[in-house]
Amino acid sequence: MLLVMGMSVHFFTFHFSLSRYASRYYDEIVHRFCTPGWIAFNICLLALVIFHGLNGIWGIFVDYNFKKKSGDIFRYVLWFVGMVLFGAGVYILVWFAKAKAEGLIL
Amino acid sequence: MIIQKLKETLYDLWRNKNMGMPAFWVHRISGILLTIFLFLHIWTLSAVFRGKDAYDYAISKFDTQFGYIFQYILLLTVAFHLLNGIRIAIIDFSGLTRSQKQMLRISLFILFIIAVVGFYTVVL
Repeated sequence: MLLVMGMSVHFFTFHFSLSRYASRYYDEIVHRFCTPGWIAFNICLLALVIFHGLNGIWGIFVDYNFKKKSGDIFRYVLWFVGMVLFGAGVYILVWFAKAKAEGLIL
Repeated sequence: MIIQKLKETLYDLWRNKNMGMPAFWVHRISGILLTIFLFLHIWTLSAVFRGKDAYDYAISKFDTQFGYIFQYILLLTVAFHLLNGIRIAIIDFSGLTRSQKQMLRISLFILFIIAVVGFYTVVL
């Protein structure tokens, strides 16, 4: 349910609203979407989406009865990929927040 | 073993004419596609590390006719996956298994509305 709400907010803000053309560009993101609330929202949404997606892939893998050893390797790979993806996503958000902070100082 | 399982799966899909079966498969395939898209999404946004201009250039690729069609397909994929996911959750938690076909029809109707509204909002 959290994912449904989060994705709806994300879609209506960036892809589905009348101001979507502007809201995706650098200046607009730095000025409108770099508040602590938006960053917290995006970090939570990112974690939920990555977990849901990779857990779904794991579910499909389990459905096909692979050997236990390959299952273990695949699980570790999924965890690693998830961590890298989450790290990259958070780093992007931090980068935007830093750009806003530097802009405010200047 | 995997090939055997895949064969059984396709055979089930072909034999089982219940509309829940294609819904299950579309849900699964859309989930895989959306997970792959997540990588593209993060990769596109990572252009910010190369500066404002590089980021705006990467984003501007989605503001082309091809980009709008891509986003429309993305919207339909997300909408189907989301609506079918809600349907599965309702069936699971409320024991409404007997109404699952009716709920699928309702989901498809809502998807149709999203598709029509989305066409005017995203593509045009």
